[in-house]
Amino acid sequence: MQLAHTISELNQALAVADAQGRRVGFVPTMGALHEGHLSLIRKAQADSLFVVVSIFVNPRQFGEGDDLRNYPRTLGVDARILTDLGVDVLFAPSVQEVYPESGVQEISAGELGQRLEGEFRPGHFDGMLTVVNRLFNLVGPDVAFFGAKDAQQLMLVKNMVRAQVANGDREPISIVGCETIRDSEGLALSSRNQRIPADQIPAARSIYRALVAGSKHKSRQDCLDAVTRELDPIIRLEYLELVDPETFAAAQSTEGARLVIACWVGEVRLIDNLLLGGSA
Amino acid sequence: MKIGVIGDDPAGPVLAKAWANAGHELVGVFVESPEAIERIEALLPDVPINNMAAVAEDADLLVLAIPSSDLEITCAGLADLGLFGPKKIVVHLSPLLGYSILADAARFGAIPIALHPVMHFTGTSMDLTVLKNTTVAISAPEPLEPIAQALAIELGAEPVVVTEAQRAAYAEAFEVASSFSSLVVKQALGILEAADVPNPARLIAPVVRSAVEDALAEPVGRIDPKDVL
Repeated sequence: MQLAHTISELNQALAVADAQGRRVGFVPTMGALHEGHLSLIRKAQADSLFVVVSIFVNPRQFGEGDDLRNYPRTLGVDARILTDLGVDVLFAPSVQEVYPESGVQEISAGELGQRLEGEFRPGHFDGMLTVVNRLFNLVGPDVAFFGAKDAQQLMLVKNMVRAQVANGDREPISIVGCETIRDSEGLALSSRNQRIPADQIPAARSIYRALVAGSKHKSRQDCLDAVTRELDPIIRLEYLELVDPETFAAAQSTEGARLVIACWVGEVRLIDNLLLGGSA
Repeated sequence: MKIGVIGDDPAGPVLAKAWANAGHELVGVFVESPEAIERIEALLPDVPINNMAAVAEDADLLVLAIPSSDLEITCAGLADLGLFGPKKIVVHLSPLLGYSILADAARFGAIPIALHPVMHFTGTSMDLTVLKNTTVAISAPEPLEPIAQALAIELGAEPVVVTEAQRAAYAEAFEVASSFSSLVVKQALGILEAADVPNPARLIAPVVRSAVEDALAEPVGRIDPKDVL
């Protein structure tokens, strides 16, 4: 594996892939890698791609307050994991490299970006799309891999790329959404999980159990009620919605809908979701 | 990673502090001299001072902040105690040596890294600011170089890979750059002082700095320092 800290180092590394005629698979991350990230990387490797993993904690997708400061960051640990995994390139740029004084195109997440996650984290999706677009421009991937845990993010990235390709602004990138990886009791893996105190892990694990309980019902209200009943009482709910998986507009029946949740377990904000109607 | 520091070199606690700021955990230090103990108390007040073996045992990332001449024997001693396994990273900070000097650690599967921040350490928190603008020469077995680079980036610095084969040249260049440049400046100051010119340092500071900047910007040609002096 090569570590590229600058864009010119990244370009040198990408020239190797180009010379070998290999297609580039890209896994953008914010570090603090866990089994969920590794599953994306293994998927890319299984597809025989030249695998580029980026680690960049994007200041623009964090709001006011402590979340950015508390976000776990240990590049040294991640570099060890990726070296063991045999990734081709680790791109770990500085903030200055990603956001030079000028020339970075700001992307708006539009109406979908205002809802659910967007409502509680204003500006989050604009910042996320801006950095993903920037990283796509730098890495030039053929395929990019995202976790389904961030379902709304995945949809926004797909929409952005589709629009850009339609406008002739970008070569097509295949956006692959990968199944959420969970611990033995269903807790969706997240870098934030390391900050959950041990005695609150059982509460965090009730999230998935609650989503599964909701999935057993047909009507919207029965479904949402079942989820609420099953959640551990210490959980503070931010939103719980049954939505259309494409538009994220409210759905009336669980059939083919996505059940999405964001909540706080102590000081840690967690999100999860479940696609209902069998095809999860 | 759990970080432990062995040795009195002022760079040790500064790097440990910088890595702690990047999210790592400090588990212990071993220091001997009163000055070094004072530096730990000032910079890392919450980190326990412990014996060498305990620090080596607890750490995932062991920093050997000791003189170059002690590296081999210290490494061998810790290896004999069975303290190096495949989970450990062992780092030394000497400009003079590559990672091979840590062979006794590597023999047991530890990752050997030579990591030299190109700066002067005072052992105070002021160093943390300088560290962010410096370069770090790193050497490690080739497949593991990214780990060494990542550790340098976490310090806020810019890593430069120096291969094991280039290490002797790096040591020589570092010695020349650090000792000869101060020698030449002192010589110039001496000339002015002998002629009773007031405040010689202030007088020639601009020319010294611009001469160094110019020389750094010029294309490289090999000069034997003996020809210049």
